Amino acid sequence: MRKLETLEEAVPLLAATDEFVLGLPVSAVLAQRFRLPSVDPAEFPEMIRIQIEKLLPFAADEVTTDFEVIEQNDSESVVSAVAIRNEQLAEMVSPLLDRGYIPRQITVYAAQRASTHAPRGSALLIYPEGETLVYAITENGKLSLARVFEDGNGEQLQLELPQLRLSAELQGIDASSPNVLLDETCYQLRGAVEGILSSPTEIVGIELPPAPVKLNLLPDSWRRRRSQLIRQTEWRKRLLWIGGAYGALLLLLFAYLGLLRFQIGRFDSRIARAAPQTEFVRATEAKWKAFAPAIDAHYYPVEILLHLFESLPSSDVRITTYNQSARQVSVEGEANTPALAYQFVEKVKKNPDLGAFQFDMAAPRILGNNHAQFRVEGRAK
Amino acid sequence: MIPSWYHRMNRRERVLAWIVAGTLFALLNLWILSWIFGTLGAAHRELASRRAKLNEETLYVKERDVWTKRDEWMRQKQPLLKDPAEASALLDQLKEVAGKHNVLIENPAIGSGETTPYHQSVFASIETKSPWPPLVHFLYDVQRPDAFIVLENVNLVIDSGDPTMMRGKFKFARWFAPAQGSK
Repeated sequence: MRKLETLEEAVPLLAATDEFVLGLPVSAVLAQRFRLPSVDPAEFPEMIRIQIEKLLPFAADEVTTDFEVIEQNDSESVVSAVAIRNEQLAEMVSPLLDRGYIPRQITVYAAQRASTHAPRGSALLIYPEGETLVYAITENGKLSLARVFEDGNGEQLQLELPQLRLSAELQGIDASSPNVLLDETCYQLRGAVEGILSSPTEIVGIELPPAPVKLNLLPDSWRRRRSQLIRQTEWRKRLLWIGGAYGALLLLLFAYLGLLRFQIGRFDSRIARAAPQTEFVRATEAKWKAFAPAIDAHYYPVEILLHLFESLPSSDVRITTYNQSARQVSVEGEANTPALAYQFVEKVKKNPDLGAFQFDMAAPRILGNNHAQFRVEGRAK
Repeated sequence: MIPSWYHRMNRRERVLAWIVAGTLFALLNLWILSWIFGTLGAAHRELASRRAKLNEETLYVKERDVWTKRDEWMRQKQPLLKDPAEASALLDQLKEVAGKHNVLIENPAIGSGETTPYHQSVFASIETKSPWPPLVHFLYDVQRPDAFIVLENVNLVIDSGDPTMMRGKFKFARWFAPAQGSK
């Protein structure tokens, strides 16, 4: 926990997306206890607005109001209503607003203390707020009545505490035997307080964290702005994530490209290292291929003719002419049907001993006797 | 943080500005992605070709002994062109083998053939008339790997007058070692 004197000091500790609660001093708000002739919570806001308008010389839209129900019976309800002028609130919170920091909830610090230390029954809280001393009477953890004094010495206590008790009694608050809670920083007042109120006093410390309070004085326009800012922040975050992911993908792709280039370079150097060893083999292979028609039996006409005859599907296919140059073969023939001619060329293509050539056949010519005249050409691979 | 010129724009101008900026951004990124994927594809193809080449080289290195033997065999067996009468000698050889198999030779001709970095050649052209079996034996006997004889042209047809006979036109060439003999 850090103690800060002003809101400006809190600014560096906050971020726009932080969920924080602002507790207002009692001196900034009007806290009033009302007895309302209804038990329907839906009617309370309008009733409280009318009551507040009677107390404050401002239009309803210039003031933010909220309330908490202290107690209810069959016909009426007792509520703790708190109001603050929007302009004053904006001025107080301006160090935060200027930087786009809007609290999730604006409440009253006295209500937070009450909710924390005296959630049941009535209590009198005495604690400092800056240079002032606050006396707050609470019921069931809700703020009922509060006074602020510039100086909290013993003499003033003698004067103010009985008056405060009287005011409370006049408003219908049972203050006869309140639970007196004195802040630890006001320990020196303990004797005086116990003497005036004839009640035991309990010393309380700073709440860590304070109990949750329903009271919220956050103006609607701020609430909307806050939602908008949160949405913007979320979108900014999403966009950052998307941008980051996209950037990472690009980086990965570039890294992959770099890896491929590196591998290509490595292959190049290995190929360059192996080149002198393979140069002789390449040259010999080229020479061997050049001499293939002379030294490779697969190019000899007698071998080719043998394998062509092996590929004849039946005696209904006849070879009539055979032509060959060093690297090209052509075969002309006649088949009883075109299908037989195609069968022949398929067998030729599949014959492994004729693999040195690539064979093709144009569409056979149909003769007058329905025989097919064909021409198969083979080129050395 | 937001520049002042953006604040000065009205809503419509801002929407238009965002549309233009978004389109430019999308186009730029499309171009970047297209370039990256294109380059990656090219690199993949290049890598595959290098890998194939390396495999080929590895195979060559492994087969070096085989190719050394083949080179040596060619050096030993390929004939040298000693004198201009080689073409005549080739024709004589053909006549001798044809005679052995009763293959009739007609219209003989001889000459010098083409010269390449690997060989220089002489040729002998003949026409034959014979039944099919003797022709096969003739061709079988003439062409052997160590003879370096190439049939540069072959034309075989069934004799139109006698279907049992084959008529052939052949251009036999002998491929000699090139003049320098170093290839």
